Amino acid sequence: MAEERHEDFPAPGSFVIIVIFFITFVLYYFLNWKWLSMIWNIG
Amino acid sequence: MAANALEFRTCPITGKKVYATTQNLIWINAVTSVVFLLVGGLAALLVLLTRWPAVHLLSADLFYRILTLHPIAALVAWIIFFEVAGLYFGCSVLLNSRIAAPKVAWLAYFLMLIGAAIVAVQILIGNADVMFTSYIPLQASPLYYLGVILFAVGALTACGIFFGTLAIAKAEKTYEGSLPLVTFGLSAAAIIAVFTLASGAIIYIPTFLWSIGIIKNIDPAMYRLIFWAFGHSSQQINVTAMVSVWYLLAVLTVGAKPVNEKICRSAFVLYILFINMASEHHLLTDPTLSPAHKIANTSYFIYMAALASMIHALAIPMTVEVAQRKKGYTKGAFEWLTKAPWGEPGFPALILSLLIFGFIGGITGIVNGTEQLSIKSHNTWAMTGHFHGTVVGGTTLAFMGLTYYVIPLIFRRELIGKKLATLQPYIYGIGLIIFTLSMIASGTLGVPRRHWDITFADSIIPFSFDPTAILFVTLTALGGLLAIIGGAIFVGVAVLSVFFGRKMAPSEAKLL
Repeated sequence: MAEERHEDFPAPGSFVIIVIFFITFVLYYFLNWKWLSMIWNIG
Repeated sequence: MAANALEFRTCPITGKKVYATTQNLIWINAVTSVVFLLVGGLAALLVLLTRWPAVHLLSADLFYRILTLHPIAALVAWIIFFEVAGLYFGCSVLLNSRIAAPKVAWLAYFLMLIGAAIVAVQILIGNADVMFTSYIPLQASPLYYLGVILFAVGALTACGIFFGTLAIAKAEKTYEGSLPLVTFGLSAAAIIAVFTLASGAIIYIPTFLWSIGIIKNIDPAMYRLIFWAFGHSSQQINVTAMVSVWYLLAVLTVGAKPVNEKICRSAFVLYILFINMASEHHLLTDPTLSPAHKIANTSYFIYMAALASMIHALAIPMTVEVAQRKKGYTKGAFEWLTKAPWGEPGFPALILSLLIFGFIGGITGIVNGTEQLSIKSHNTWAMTGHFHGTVVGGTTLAFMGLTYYVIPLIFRRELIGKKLATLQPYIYGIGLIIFTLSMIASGTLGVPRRHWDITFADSIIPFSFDPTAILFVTLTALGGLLAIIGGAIFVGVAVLSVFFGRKMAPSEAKLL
């Protein structure tokens, strides 16, 4: 049985850039919730 | 203007037919757009030097007048005139088609020009100190609203010319297969434009009637709702047109072709269906709409548009990377990027536009648009930093990059000051990165948007910001000055090249 061949992802550099973008987004999103909790205390 | 509607030449680089009527229309709209960019840039300089406490240049009256003029010239006139030029390029040049009803296209141009001129004059003579939003009950002169209506009707007519040309191209079989991706993207922009301009008509016509006394009362909440269907949606036209220009720049700079066109097209369809939800961000602190309505629109549906942006954000660098790897730049993860044509103005314009739009404008847009988080940044400079990341760092920089190709290819003029043109995207882009990030930082520390004097020198109750906030305000001013220098270089190179650049013979045709 012929082995199924998977080609490499054609744009690994772009993938790295997108991962950096995603991490930046998650950090900034989290920081904003943190800042909101600091200036708008509940309880 | 009097060119024969069927007279054309064939571009030796692209093989596309360039009709004389189309070329003239692209020329006049593009040149007019740059003139308004100059006006908007000068206004930006005055606003910046007033908001910087160390200079504090203008009086309060003049500041708010110039602050009204700045977005009208830079956000509306520069960008929409350029987009109309882009629409004519996308439907006529890319499809090898004659343009539909060229005389009507000229009428559209003059409507837009007269409208924009009336609005600018009304602002400058002090008849419209109402800011860009002209929120009710602030009232400008009737001529101001009439100018906006004329401009909107002209732009709407230009969209009609675009759709008419698509129909002609289809009927006369001037292209094979599906619409090219760039034209498809511009079609999405034009569809969003129709909704946007119709919203503008729905709100500005009664406001005009209110200004002349025929209508006695306009509900401010209703005004805000419909105004933003016009005001923010016009930015969605910019986003969609900008993404189309990114694909075009990827072709022009490295010969890239989308890896999967179907996915790119479906992302444009997502824009058409969902991007207008972003308009409601402006109403998040208004009491009129229910929290459930706000959350459904801005915390759920809008993510479908964000998904579209994420698709484009991966697709465009990917197309560039795949094209570069095919040329042999395969070493490591980033040789394709380091060996890219950074010495041509189009490439840094593309990459910096993509990065500033995504990392600064895009991320902050999603965060600011979240119902709960909006309360923290609403009416602060963080908002202004966000949309300067999208519209200036993203759209304007991409349009500047494209201009360097339009001048030799469409206007057949050699660029004057190519070295300056090469440096320009870097100066403009780096200036904007400093400007927007500092603006967002100072806004996060509480610095308000639109305020004449953040030292509150005349205030009855004294208040002073933390020195860190003032530091970021100063950095904003320095970054803004750098960006303005970059903008001035662009205007200088573009105007000198278009009017005084050496005329190129057809055999000399080259990209730059």
